[in-house]
Amino acid sequence: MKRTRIELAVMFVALLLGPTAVFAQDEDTMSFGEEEVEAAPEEGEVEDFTGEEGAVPGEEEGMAEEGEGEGGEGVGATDEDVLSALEDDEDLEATGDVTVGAAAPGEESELPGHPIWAVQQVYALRAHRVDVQPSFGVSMNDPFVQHQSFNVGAAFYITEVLAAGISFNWYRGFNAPTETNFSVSRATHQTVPINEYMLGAQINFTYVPIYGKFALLKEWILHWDVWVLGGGGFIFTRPYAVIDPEYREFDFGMKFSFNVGIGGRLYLTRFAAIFVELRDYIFPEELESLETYSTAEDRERKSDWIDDNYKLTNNVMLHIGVSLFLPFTFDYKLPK
Amino acid sequence: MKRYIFVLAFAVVSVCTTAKTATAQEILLEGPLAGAPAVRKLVQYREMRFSAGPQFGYTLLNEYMHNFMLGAKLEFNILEWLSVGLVGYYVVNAPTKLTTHISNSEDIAGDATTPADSNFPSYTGAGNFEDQVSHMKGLYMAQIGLIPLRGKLAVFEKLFVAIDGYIFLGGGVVHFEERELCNRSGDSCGDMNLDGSGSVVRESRITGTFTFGVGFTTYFNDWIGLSLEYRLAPFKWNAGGTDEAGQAGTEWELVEEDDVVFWDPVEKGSGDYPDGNISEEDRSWNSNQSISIGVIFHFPLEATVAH
Repeated sequence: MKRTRIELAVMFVALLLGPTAVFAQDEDTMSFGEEEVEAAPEEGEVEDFTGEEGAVPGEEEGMAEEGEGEGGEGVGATDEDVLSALEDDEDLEATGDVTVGAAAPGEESELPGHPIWAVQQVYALRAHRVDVQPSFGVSMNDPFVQHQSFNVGAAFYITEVLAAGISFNWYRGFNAPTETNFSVSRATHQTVPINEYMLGAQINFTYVPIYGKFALLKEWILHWDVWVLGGGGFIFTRPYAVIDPEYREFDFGMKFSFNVGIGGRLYLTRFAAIFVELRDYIFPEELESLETYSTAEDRERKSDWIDDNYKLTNNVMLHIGVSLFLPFTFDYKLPK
Repeated sequence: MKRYIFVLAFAVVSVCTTAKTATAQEILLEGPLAGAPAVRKLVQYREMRFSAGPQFGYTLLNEYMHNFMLGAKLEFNILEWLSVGLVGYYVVNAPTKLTTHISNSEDIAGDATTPADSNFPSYTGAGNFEDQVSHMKGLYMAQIGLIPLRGKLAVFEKLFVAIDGYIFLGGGVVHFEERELCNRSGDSCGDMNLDGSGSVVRESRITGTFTFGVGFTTYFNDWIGLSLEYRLAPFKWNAGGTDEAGQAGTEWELVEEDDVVFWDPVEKGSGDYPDGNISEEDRSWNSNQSISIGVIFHFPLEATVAH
């Protein structure tokens, strides 16, 4: 009798321990990237969607309407696949206030009727990270002088979609009068006042209203977002002396400037992206006076070198660069 | 002994069979997601459908004339990733600030500037300058489109729309009006004179070009979308209607004598500039960059869904 009890106990223990003894993941069908493993939340960490990334469930709903999915991320799961599976269960809704994650053996899943609740995460979280953006810029709207610049910007994302930051532009040494400027002067014997820039700096606010993803050839998923930004700062500029270069020489002067822009970013990793941005720097520009004088005394008078009227100038720059998010890693609020 | 063997066998079988029925992780192992394709049930907005709609464009980096493009695009999408199509634009012109600046230029006496012996016929005077520069009139292209990107975007975390990204390559013609070729020495520059009188004649030209560009189309439903694209269609023309060819020969220096300022010809090189001709050699490449936005309607109205 006693032996029988022992045997039953062994069998009971085997039944209990069985599920915990098996491998949770099958190496053949499961793979994670290093960064995903590192970014995974600690065991037992379970949080609700707060709405900050509320777009995640919302996004999935929108995606479901379209009928697309994607894979190649972590388990090769596709959001559409997941949603399709969920739709098959009919009663499941992708609301954000549910506890997400696979139920461990012995625990009761909070999801009725289906073991999968895998809402795909936003590829790269931005909140509380600093976006450092080194870039190179070329002017797009000045036919007479090609302004080029090296730029660096840094923006701290207060939320997933809103950031505050600074940016700096260095132009000096990268301004070059164009062929058009030369050609016009040669053909018409007329000169157009032109200016060169030295540097600029701005404080900006950035808002990211659009984000999305592409399936490249239906195989690789590319994540991207689009932002708009605006702010104010200053820029140092001066006129080229073209009307009377024999006498006139100008110093750089500071002008207050505003800037607005729009940019797009294609993520290469969760912390690095390439971006293109079109930004318009708007400022009141001083131009060389077109008035000429015949006497040396008049020509030397500095007060006559600058036109009395400021000209509101739009310096539209195309920036191409790299977007680096610091810290490089981040933790998702929810497991995958 | 048999009993021990039975118990041991039961335990082993229990472990093995339980492993097969462990739920949560096992679904990830061998569930419906394993081996799933990257895209399923794709709404095929393009395949075997026509796309047509109005287009509105603007050329970039204009020197003398702004070009506002009104046109239409018609495409047949053979596959979801391949299309062939036609696009045509009629161009409306407006002078740039540079052209306005020169057209309004005045000499010391307050009169409209006129050409001098040193720069005629390169310059025809303030009153003629807007007519002197080239005017683009149309752009007509046939093109093949490749659509490697397909995805979706979220706007304000509320609006979700499908989007695709495409490149296109093709060829066609550009129609523009360019200043008529003329030879000063041959007195073939019309009735123009050094006092700025007379008028400039522009002639219509059509030249071949290739085109290349990239674009995006967003789909609001099965049959209507919005496109945004960037296009290159380079060709050669004489944008300013000026004498450009040749190396430095005679140059003019501003000289002041007896309170009179004038341009004095000085031999600065052995080149032939200016040659006094408005010729084909004065033409240069214009990259002809443009951006356009358009509304796209798809026919038939219902899109298919891929398996």
